[in-house]
Amino acid sequence: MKTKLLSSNKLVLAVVCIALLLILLDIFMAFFISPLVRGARLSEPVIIVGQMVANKLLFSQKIFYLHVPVALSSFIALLFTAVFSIRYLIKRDPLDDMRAYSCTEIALVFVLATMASGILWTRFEWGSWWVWEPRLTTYFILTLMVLAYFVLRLNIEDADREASFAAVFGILAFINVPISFFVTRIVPSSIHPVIFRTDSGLSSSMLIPFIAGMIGCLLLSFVLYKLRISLKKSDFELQQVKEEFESLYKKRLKEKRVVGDK
Amino acid sequence: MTEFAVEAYSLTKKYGARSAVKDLDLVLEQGKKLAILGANGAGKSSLMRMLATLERPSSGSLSILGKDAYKESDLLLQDIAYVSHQSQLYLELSAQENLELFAKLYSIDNALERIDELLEKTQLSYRRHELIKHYSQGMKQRLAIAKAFLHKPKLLLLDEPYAGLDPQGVAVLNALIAELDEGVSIILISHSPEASYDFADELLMLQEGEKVLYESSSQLSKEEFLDRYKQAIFDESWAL
Amino acid sequence: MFTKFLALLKKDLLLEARSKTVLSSMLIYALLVLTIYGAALSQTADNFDILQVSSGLLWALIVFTSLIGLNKTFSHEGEAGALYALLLAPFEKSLVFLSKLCANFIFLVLLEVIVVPLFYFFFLQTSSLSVQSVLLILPLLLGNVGIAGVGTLLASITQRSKSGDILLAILLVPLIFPLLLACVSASAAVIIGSAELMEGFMRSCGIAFSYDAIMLAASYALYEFVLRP
Repeated sequence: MKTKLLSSNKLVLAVVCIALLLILLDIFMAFFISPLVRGARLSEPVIIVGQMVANKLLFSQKIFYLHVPVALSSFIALLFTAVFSIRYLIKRDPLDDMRAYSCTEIALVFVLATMASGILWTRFEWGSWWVWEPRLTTYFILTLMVLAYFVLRLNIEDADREASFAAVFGILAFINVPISFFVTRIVPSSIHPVIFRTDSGLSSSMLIPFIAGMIGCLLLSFVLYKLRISLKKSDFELQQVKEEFESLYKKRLKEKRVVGDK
Repeated sequence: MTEFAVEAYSLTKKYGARSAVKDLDLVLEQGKKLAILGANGAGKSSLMRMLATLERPSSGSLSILGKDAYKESDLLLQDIAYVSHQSQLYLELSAQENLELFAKLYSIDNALERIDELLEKTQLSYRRHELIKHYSQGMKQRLAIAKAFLHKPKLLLLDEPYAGLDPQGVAVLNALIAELDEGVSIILISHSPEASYDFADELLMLQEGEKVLYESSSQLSKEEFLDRYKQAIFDESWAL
Repeated sequence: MFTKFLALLKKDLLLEARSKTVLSSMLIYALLVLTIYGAALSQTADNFDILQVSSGLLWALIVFTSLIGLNKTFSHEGEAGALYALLLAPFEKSLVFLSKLCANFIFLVLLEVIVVPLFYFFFLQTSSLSVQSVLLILPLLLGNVGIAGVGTLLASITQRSKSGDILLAILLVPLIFPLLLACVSASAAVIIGSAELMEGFMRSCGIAFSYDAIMLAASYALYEFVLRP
């Protein structure tokens, strides 16, 4: 067992290094090699915080190279939360519940990273730290739902119910993600302009850092997930061992007492 | 079809890491009466809730009236009744309204006559249209019992049924039980070893989720049983 | 099965008719929110176009008030353990979801019958409402369905937890957000009533309708895992 642990630790370390390297590659290429991209094209000229926002070359767009991989990773993490939640409701295997929980934890990390990069992006592109535009709004709601998941888990006393309820909410939250995504973009607004992005195809100098970042984030999320789930598993096993020990100990005491009485 | 009322093998219930019921084997024939005793926290109520299909066993198998308690619980509900410490009724409805609602949910034929009959037997007819929040505790328990007998269940699960009853109620319950068909099985939780011995065909004593005694009352003398009961409770109080 | 559903719905409506806890708390709360709105808007200029914010204010009011009502969804079941009785009765437990959903929907409609005119009374008398404002009924109904649907499911989850009240709010608001956007948009369109906005009205109602359909179907499917003592 010892050697197994060691080798898996090495593997983990190796994967983390690769992940970080890829992310660094992404950032490096993004800032030094990829060309600048024109900013969002708007349906009408708009003034935000005293600045006319229009079609201009944006340095801030570079945040995209990290923002999107991170956002996609959080979405994928939530996808797995939903998958494990569904499996739990069908099979009732506590391991699935632990898996769903861990996935949501990973989702939290990446959702917060998405929010941070999203806020930065908005600041540099629009001039203000927050605008109620589709992307930020969707991710804000997502953040709230992930946080709500944890509040729910921490507030239900019975472990059985905690798992079922968390699974149900996880599934509902995941269904809500694409709904939020589309609704924030489609809802006709009397006041806000509709935003079109000039997302024409990505050239290779843009594609490579993006993919590097994407793979890096996915690897990182996978590693973090493995760490969390192994922690939960050992916790659970520890509890079981404690319980067995206690009951055995009590039995021994009783036996001793009976012998003592006689 | 000779099916058992209850067949449980290696029945275990865990709450997180804590085991409330450990590896319990239990077989009860139809028409028999089982009394479950034990100190508080011994696992009696957990066991009862599993028998009532309100909780899922963590492991082991449980079959009630020939059907799996987990997978086929929907089929069972028509034939079991569970009386607990709470009355399980709507306080802002009258006795009549409560019983009518449950008669509908249980798809009872000739509901109104059946309700009349039970209200008579539980001596609540005269106040059937009053909201039960005005009832005394004893009356609420009597109504709970009426509700339990409404759909003529084949298995009665009673959690300390005599605890909330006034003397009138005790007589009512005894009468209702005496009237039952032969095939009806009863499992009850009790804190009175004497009464249990007299009432039940089989006796089960739990301590920390484990069975410490499981005998027919015919195979055990009353003194012996009372002795072992005292010992078990005494042991419990020594446990750390 | 329909008779069982009706029996359950009748039970919920009868309980409310006697105890009046849900409607009275919701009404009082709504009145308080309107009062606070009065303070909040007290500094607006004379030429302030309140029509632009009135849709949002109205929906904020509805969502906050609905939380009060939703939290009481299972209060009668909790008083003497009637929830066990429901669980033990042999019928499709999803009927509990449907009956509670209908009851909550009805309560919301009754609330709005009083509160929407009140809102008009306090804030909109000096504005020129468009003729199409009557169409406000549509987004109101669609919103109520969604809030009652998702809210009833979540109320079943939070009913017995200690911090149930705030937990329901934390779970409900993010889930209901897309519906809220659609309803606010649709309501604003009818209240302001300009031609371009009316084009958007049917689209917003369509979005709200789709939301309702999807979330209600999901809630209905998931309900069996959620009703527990």
